[in-house]
Amino acid sequence: MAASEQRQPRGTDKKMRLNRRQLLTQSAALGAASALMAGCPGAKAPASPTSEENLIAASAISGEPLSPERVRGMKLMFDFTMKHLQTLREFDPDEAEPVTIFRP
Amino acid sequence: MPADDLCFKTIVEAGPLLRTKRVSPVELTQAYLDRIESLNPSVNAFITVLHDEALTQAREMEKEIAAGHYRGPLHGIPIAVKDIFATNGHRTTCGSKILKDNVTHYDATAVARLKQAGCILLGKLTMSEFALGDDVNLLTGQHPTRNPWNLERSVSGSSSGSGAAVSASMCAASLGTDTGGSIRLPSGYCGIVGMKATYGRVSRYGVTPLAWSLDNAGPMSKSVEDNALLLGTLAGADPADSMCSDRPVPDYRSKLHAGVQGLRIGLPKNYFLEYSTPDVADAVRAAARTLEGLGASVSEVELPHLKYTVGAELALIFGEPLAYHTKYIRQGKFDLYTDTNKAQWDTARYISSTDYIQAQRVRRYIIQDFEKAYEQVDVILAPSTGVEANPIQEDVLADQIPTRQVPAGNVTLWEILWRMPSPANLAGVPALALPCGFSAAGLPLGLQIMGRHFDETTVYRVGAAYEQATDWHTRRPAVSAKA
Repeated sequence: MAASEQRQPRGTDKKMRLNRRQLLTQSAALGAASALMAGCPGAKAPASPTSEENLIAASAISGEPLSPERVRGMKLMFDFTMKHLQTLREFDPDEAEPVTIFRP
Repeated sequence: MPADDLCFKTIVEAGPLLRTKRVSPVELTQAYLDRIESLNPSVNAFITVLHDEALTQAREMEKEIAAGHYRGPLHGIPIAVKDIFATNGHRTTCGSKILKDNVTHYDATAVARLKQAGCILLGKLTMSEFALGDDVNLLTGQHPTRNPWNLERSVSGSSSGSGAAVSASMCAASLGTDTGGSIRLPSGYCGIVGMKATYGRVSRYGVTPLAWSLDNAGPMSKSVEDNALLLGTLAGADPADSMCSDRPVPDYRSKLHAGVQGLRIGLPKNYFLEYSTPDVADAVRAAARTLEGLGASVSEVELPHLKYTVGAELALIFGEPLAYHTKYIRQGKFDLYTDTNKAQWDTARYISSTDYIQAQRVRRYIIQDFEKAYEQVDVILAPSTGVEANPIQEDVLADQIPTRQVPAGNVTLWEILWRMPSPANLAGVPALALPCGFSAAGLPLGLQIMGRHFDETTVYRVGAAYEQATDWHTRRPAVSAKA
């Protein structure tokens, strides 16, 4: 292998090195391009919190990771429940002493 | 007397015949057993029929009555119980493959009290698996319980067999449980009377739990008076259930004939009628007018926190059972559950502790809504189901949730069926379901009467006055006529 073909440690070639301003400018351009691409047909949007992969990952925390089949099997029930839990989460009585025990 | 005519009698009608020995408990029990044999293949209300044991019990009751030891109005009355109640020496399956061989060796308190009063146990009734989920009974080969008014229609759940068996006169009365409507939904779909009493009024000892903070056991019957009679026997302190109230039990029949003159009836402005189909809403308004015609006053009431009801109910009724069922899931039995319960247990994993606490918190505000309303009125009327009985295939979890057109829009059936019964569960108030009309398809429409905590007496009083002024409870499903 010729010496010129040998790999150099990254950033050691001064000609290739980016200064801070260039880095910021190019990152911003990359971000804008990503945003444009996300709007294009076929582009992959960021995963929603309730995407299959996120639900599988979240289920692992509960001690039993769900299979994709199980996530699909519960989807209707899950969406119905989450819709109503969202309303419940808006409940804010601003009480000084929350009463959490049911007592008829 | 023809056997079927005996089966059509209410408890209050049959009681004097037994007491005066014009009919024997054996004759009555045999009539019901024959009817079960004839109708159960099509209705599928019984998981277990205790043929020999029921007849043995009936002979004992016959001897007692003949000897002058009459126990009271339930002596010699054949009943059946949802298969969630433990009964001594029988299978108690909870409608699940997981417990298909589970034999219990004691009686639940509710069962023991009915037996003590002289009731004869005909058998155990079908139910949605573990009292939650679709009405497909896996134990009987995927055959659902069928509505006696139309065998292609659902009975709803979870006390499916309890509703169908009483409606088809396969027993004089039954026991059900109600955590999110499981007594009132099948009562409404089947045109019978069902009581979810005040939380803690009836012991749950020996009843497999669904959601501890919401569970109730209660009677399902052919008439309001039968129901009041049964609750009077079931209610009362039980040290074996720590949530069971030790308040004295009044005579629930004492005001059944007092009428409603001077009583104040509330119709909720919000929440219920906008999510009911027009025929149901019209029937409920007509019931209010009937009671007004009998001397009650009717006014609108507002229950502002009910908008949180379904979210709170779901957080509790999915969250609490997951804690109970985790033991079975860890034992590798997850695949034995119905598809609906699989979906419910898996959904419950995403209900946070904050959601659960919010749900318990919102209950206090819903209770306060009811208490405030009860300063203006004595009872509140609402639909028990909001819709007529749906086609059976809509009970099974599919790709889409079936919908109905109601004033609020085109909403899912789940939205309606969770919405109607849940406020009384969260608030813990008593709620009586009874028939209030029939749909164009000839299916029963249901009314519920909600009252103050521990004021079942007024609820029954209003129910009895309405029942006496109408004839809905006198109609019988065609399945009975064919037998």
